[in-house]
Amino acid sequence: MKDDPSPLRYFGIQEESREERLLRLLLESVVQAVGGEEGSLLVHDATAGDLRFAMTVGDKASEQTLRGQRVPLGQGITGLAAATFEVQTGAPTFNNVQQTEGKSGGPEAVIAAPMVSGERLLGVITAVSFKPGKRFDGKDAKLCGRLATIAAVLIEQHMKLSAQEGRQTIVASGIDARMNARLGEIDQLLHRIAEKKPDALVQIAAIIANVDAALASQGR
Amino acid sequence: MPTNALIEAISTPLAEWWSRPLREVQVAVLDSGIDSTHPDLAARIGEAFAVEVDPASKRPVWRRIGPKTNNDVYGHGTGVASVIAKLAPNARIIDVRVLGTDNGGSVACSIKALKKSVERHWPILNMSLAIGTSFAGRVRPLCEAAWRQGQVVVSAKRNYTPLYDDLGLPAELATSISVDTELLPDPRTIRFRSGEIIEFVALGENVTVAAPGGLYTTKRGTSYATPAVSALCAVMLGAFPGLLPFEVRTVLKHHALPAVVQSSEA
Repeated sequence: MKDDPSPLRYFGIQEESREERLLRLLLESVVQAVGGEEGSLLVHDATAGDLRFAMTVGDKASEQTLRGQRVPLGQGITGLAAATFEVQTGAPTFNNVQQTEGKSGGPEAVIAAPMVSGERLLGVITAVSFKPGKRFDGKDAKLCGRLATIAAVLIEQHMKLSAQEGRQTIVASGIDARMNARLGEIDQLLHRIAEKKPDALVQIAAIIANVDAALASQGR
Repeated sequence: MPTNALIEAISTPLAEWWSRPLREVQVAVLDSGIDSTHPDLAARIGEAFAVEVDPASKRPVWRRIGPKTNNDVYGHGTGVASVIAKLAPNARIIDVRVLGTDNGGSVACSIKALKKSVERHWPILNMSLAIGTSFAGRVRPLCEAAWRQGQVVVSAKRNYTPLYDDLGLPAELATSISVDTELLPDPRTIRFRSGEIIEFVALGENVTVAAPGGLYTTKRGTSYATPAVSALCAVMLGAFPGLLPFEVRTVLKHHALPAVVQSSEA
């Protein structure tokens, strides 16, 4: 199922922004470091409870096909990485123990590393290889995990900075006192939610992004 | 004074354990479930259970699964169980699914499954999973209860993960036989790392395992090293019944090679 062209908006990251380019650079580094040919960054949609392809490197056609597609949390190596918060690797399946007959379709090797902030899943970075006999090993897992951590920190910092800038804009904008008081209340509520249930912030951010997108489309 | 079983287990070369009469030993696999229709596992699964979060109460619920079913939601548990089935011909595997089809409630389910497994006195509990150390208050008493009543808990060190700097539970506990991965020549070969929290290292790289649907694949990680040690424990308990967990650890240490190579993910 493909429905949303820009899943990175869950993090408030715009297309063609510096953050988007940096994430793409990190993803390219993952693919290069582990000797893969393609890689993808999937965003965790906490509201829908699934993962969504946000960007793919290595093959432009793949990116066009995959972007926006949903992956249930319980599916495959990517789903397992999301479920366990651990780097996972996968290989094709065969009909016989000698692994000579009836190889399953798809890539020869898959590696998936979760992007995690605190106890919250932000998404998963994957790399695949189509080279015959290719297997990802422990060193690849470590590298992929480290780079996914850097990606998670980048996203986390961007979200924090955006929230901070948003607050400063409100104060500096001189919006009338009533509106300002209301925004102050929302700010306090958000802080309380952040302390008690940080996961909920992702859902709130998604709702706000949806409203913002709707307003933007009305304005066009 | 050492028991006869302990002396025998130490003095019998590990390779000869398989040629002794082996009693059946139950090994509970707390994992993503097992495809008990797989030809390698069909005759090896004793019972099957699942712990899932009840949508209404939001609490983990324990239930029995019918025989000859594919209870594996990720393909992980089938692979883990196949390592035990292959190495320990006397192992009767108990399938305890603790991972759901999403990542909701997996810690609560794992703890509930551990509690139930302790209550049921299954001799070996294979946990190729890691619970965050913030749950030590709930996991430690269960592992201590298992230890005191003679159950052997074998658990995986957490694979490299960006989130946690802990090694995972039960692996960090002294009441667990905890396992790291390395590329070793033989699944029956283990290494012992004196003075480390994760004392044992087993083959967990390029392991050929069963996959759901009667298939086979290659896996890596501590998840697949752990069942190799569980299998050794099952054969040990089958050949030398009555060993207590501390004796099992002693025998494993005696027959292990010294650690010479760092873990692939250290």
